[in-house]
Amino acid sequence: MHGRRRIAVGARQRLARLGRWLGEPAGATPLVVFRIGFGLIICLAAVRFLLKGWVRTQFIEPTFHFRYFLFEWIPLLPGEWIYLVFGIQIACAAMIAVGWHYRAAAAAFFLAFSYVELIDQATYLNHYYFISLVAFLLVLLPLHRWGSLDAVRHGSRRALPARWIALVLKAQIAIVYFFAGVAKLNPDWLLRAEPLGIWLSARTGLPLAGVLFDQPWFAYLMSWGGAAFDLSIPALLLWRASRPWAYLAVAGFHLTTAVLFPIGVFPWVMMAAALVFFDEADYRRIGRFLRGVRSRFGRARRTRAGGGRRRRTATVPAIPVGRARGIVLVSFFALQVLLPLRHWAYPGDVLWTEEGFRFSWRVMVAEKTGAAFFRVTDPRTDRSWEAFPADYLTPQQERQFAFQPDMILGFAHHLRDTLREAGVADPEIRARVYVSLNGERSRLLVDPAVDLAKTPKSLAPKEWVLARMGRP
Amino acid sequence: MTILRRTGTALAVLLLLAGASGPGCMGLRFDREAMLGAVADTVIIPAHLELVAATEALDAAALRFTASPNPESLAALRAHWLSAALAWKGVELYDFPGLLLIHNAIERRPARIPFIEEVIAGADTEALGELDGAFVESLGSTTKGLAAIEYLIFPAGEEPPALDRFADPARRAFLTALTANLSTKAAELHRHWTPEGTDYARSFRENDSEGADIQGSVSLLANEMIALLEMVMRTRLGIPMGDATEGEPRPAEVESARTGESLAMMSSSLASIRETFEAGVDDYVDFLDRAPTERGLAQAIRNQFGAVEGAIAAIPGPLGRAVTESPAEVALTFEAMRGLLVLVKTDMAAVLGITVTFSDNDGD
Repeated sequence: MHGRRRIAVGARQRLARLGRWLGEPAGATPLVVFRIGFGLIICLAAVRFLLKGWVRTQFIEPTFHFRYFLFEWIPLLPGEWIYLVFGIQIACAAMIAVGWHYRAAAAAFFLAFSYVELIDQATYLNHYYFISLVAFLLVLLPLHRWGSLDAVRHGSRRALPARWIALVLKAQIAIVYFFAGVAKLNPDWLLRAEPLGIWLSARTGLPLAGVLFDQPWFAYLMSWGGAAFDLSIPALLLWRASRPWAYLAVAGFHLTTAVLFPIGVFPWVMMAAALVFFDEADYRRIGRFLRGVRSRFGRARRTRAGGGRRRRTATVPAIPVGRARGIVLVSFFALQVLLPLRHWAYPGDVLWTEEGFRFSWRVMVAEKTGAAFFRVTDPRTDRSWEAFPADYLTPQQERQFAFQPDMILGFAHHLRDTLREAGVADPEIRARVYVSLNGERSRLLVDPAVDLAKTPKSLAPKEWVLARMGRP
Repeated sequence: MTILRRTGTALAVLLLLAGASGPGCMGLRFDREAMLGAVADTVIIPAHLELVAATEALDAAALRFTASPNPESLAALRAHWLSAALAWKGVELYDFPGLLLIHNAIERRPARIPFIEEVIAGADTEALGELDGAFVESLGSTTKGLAAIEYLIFPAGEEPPALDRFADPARRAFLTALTANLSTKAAELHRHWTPEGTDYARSFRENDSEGADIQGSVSLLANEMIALLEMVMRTRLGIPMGDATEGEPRPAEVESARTGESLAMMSSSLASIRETFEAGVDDYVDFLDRAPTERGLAQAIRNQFGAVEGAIAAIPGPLGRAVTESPAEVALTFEAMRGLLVLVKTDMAAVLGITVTFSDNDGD
């Protein structure tokens, strides 16, 4: 009994020590840099989305949306109103960057961005999910207390940032890299160097490096190097000695992906986000270095009276996590760890079945192309005919749904409902879906004998999805 | 700094070595530009030349017919129309960016019959010379081109015989205006591909892997192959089979019901896809497939082209009749096309690393 009590007391003491450590004061610069960098990039991302006309092609033109299971209740805005949501995103992202009415802006951005992401599964991208998660964290984290218009508005009495604030952001970024690395530990990636082999072969025209791209060894080098990068970079960014080199690696890695692959703002988001790993001392060194460069170029060195402000704020205690916020954060990160692991609850290869694929940082690990055919049978007339997805979907939707079983089921249900409205009371719908994964020859993805019109949506394993190497 | 310098030097040496070795030295690189050049020089440009010759011959036949309408000149006119239509099927695949309008001017179905009749009825009989190629240029694409000419010279059902209808001088004038315009459009399209025009062939060869524009022409070509295969399957075969009418066959919906030549046209469309594939795309697929040629993807695609051709040849009579009288043979053709589409749309696209369907969007 005494032994157990000692252990419990020891655990409590360790927890208390951890709590004190998390609550220790830390520098504000990493948080300010993160807030400004992230805010600017998400603002520009929303502007870019508008300018490219994607609001229309992805949210207004489709006559049908692939709704997420359990989120079908989310209402769709009529006509052009979706533009307003993007307007809110742009305004709120700018407000986050400058730290003006930050809390409200972060909450509104999180809601507006997540709303858009939940409209259609066809638009899912890992980096959009990342932006949603970080936006949620921004609501919880007081990043507006320093280097912001809010700080100016509310005067000079500011608490120091505590260590836990930057740590929350670092943990989120580390989760992305770590699980992206774990996802790469699969036979296709490590033993066949796919899908990188396919993608690199297609880009051999790139100046200089392109000549390497159809060399099989280079695909292996990139595959293994990519996995090692993802798995090790969080630790290397945390360790002060390796941090500058690790960040250079982050920049090099993401710039390479930006040149090679059409992945939008993802590289820039990650490069900006990873700046939070630098601590106050790092930023002071960078500042000294930059001042040195300026003086070397003969510019007049100007001294700023900033030290006084720092000293004044140092008298105020650091911001504690707080019980409610602590519970939310622990739950949030528990979910973040569990979601990428949920695929173990499903049989089969997650790259093939996609059960547990989304929200788990399986970034660029699968090159899939599909061709989906639907056969409708009217039992009253015993007639059957082909229904072509292109008659119902946009090209973007058609490309995405053809290899994702839950979306295939979603389309079959939409087709069923459309046929019922047209007077076919009880249509049977069977699909022949051929999918090629990571350059392999195409195979049937779903059981062509199953009537999808009568197959319910659920989170349970989809028994009508065939195994990658044949029937289950 | 030393580590950085060493890393930089190593990287530079690696790139220099790779650059110096260049295509051929490593024995692995595939010359995509040469492949695209072969496709342009041996298939695309000859197909366009054939269309130019066929439409010129059609225009000459229309002039002979309108000068002397009789059963022989009508039969010759119809034969030339069919030659032009089949030549067009060898070209329609190359519907690349910037060419849509001119493609539509050559063929866009269905023809707007009421409007065609309106034009003829409203023509000023005192000034029929105004019904010329320039006038046709001002008309919409469904009022001209191959489909409109087909309507004029191949009457269907209850319509009066062609010779009787061509007693009307305005109809004769409109026919020659249509064939003249068609011939002009075919020549214009051909010029696009040559140095005398916009030299599309050169940009087609060179628009490949420039920065982020990955495999521009390979992707374009593969996507056009997929789009045409899907269109043939869905519109030219599926709809007559009843896919848009809950399984009720619609013989009148075949592509060229008036001529009864839908199967020949279908074969010609597929032949153009096959010729394009076999002009070098198949070698590229073999190169990327890294599988023995006899069991490789390219050979599987070649075999499936053969299966589709065999299935089409096995359909008895015009397609319009076959969809009701020989549905099993038509269904077999549909299945063979499905097999071909799957190979091209999934397996070939995957091996080429291209994005199927053009939808501008990010990925990750």
